[in-house]
Amino acid sequence: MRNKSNVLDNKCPSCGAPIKYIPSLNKWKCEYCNSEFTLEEMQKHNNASSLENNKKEIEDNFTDYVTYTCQDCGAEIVADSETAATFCVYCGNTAILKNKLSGKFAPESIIPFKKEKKDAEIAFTNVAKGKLFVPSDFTKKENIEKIKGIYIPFWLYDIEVFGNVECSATKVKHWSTSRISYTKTDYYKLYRSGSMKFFKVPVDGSKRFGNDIMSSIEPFEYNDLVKYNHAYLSGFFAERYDVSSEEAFSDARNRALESGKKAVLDDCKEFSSKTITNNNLNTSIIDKHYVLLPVWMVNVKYKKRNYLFAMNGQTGEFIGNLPLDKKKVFLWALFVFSIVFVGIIIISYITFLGE
Amino acid sequence: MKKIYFIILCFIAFILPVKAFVTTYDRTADNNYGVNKKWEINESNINNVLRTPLVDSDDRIYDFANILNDNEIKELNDLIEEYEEETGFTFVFLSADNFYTSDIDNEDYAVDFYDYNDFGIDDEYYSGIILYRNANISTPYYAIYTFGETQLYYDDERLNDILDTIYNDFYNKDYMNGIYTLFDMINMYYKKGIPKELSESYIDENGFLIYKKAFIIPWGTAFILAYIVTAIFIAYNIIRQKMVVKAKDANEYLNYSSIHFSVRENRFINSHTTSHYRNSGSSSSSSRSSRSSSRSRSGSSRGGHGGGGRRG
Repeated sequence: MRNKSNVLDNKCPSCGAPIKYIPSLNKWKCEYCNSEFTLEEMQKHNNASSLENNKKEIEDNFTDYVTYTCQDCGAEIVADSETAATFCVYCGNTAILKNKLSGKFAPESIIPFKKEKKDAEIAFTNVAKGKLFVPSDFTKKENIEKIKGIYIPFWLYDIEVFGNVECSATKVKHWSTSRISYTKTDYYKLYRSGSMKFFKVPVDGSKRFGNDIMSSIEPFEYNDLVKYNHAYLSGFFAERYDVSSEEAFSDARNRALESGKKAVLDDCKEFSSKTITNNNLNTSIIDKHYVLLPVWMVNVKYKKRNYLFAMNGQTGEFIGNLPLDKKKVFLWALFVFSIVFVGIIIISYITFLGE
Repeated sequence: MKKIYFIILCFIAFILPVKAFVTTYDRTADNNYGVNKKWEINESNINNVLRTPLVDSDDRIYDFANILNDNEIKELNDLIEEYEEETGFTFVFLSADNFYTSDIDNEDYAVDFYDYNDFGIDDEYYSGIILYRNANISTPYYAIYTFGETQLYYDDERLNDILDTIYNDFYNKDYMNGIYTLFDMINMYYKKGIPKELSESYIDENGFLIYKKAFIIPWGTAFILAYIVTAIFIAYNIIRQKMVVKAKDANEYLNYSSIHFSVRENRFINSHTTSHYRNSGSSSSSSRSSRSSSRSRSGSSRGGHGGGGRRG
């Protein structure tokens, strides 16, 4: 089934050409007439719609919609059910599938991209610098060009951790006389009961991206969170969540509980050692927020394996597991072994001559 | 009756082992006290020279204590001849019956015997070995002393090995068994060559072993250390390439001012005290008894020698 009306294409209010959001300017800029527009100016234009408008839209059966028509050239855009913003493969224009981000999928807030593609390209190029075992051609231009900016759906949880914890702890004291050394160990049972609050613990809401890599690019600076507007998606891909708030919460809960235990142990600093023997900590959700967070991503295939790299589109934190060039590993191992081996023999000989 | 005594004497002579006797000579100023080596005979060593029996140094076996029979002497002569032919070193067997309570007395006696009887005279360093047995019933002792280049081939470690191996045979007076074992071992060690530790050492003109430490390449240590360093280097660089680390806590999102403990109780359970005596820290110098590779004592023989012995 095709749905033409739900495809949003941001256009320049001046000349009608496709227009993109420029992170460094925090504005929309037309590449044809060089006009720049603020969010307010874009909102005045029909192409942009506010969060309030989104929420009023009727929720459709999105999963049936996999084919769209480009507003610009009329070509068919094929996207899966979670893609919310993509590009027309023919004319390259941004296609924001706005009904994907409406209704219950309407994000509350968004952190607009602050880092541009060239920042991500530089970061990707630099990621291999100083890494000895990276294949030489890994950061080749072909791979760099694959970098794309994606707004990833995140759930942010405000969590209260409460309950009680029991610990075994010791205090150790040493002293000595001229002949005898003494060690006194005092044993304690510690009890702590109370609560603490965590704000905006993020959990990736997309199954497509591993939680490991998404949590590795944390933290995001939430001061930059702004009210969601489709206009921010110009020039970027976007996803909608496919992990429900309830499913995602277990990750946030585990992290909060872990930090809760650490906070209890930190409260017992005067003890030499402490171990939690019994913990009865629980969590409750104070609030939750559905937001889109900016991530530059590149997926590189090397020797039949995919290597995913992500850069925090706001802070520039670049993360990813680099592949190992086994030949380089072997040659480096051989080199280091030889150097150390010969070095030890030379040092032994010099020491011998000095004796 | 006389016939009967004669028959008995003949029988005893027949069944008892035939004992050889060692011929000794007088030491006089005319024959330079029997010393043709380059040692200078003076007041400091004249007494030692004079008390040392002068023997024919073409012989090799001097069984003053009569512990070997003729057959055994013949066997030993064969062994010595074979050894000397193979190595070019002199081998001397000396037995005596001296009441020496001190190892040094035994050593002086045997070493002077070698030095003041022209043994090894054909060799630049007077190289040779003396196997000494003091068969005194109260102070039994046996030893091997090395002279000249044999000090290089038979270091302390090798001599200890030989002395330990032949201990039971000498203790039980099964001398030939011990001697056979000894020759097996000295031949084996000769074939092995000079130990690596002594490869840089040499013998000076007076026969003293000049110990020069040899550089032994620490293959094992170098291999193990290089392996460890390489493993750490590779592991470190592999870890550097793994940048993805799953967040396990939410510390960054904790509002520390929100932490509130309504119960904060530290309950004392019990206490345990241990004590131990401290080391005084004063290090006592350890005295090691080691047989020196080269020795020279006033009055005793002038050349360097090595070796040592055992009670028993």
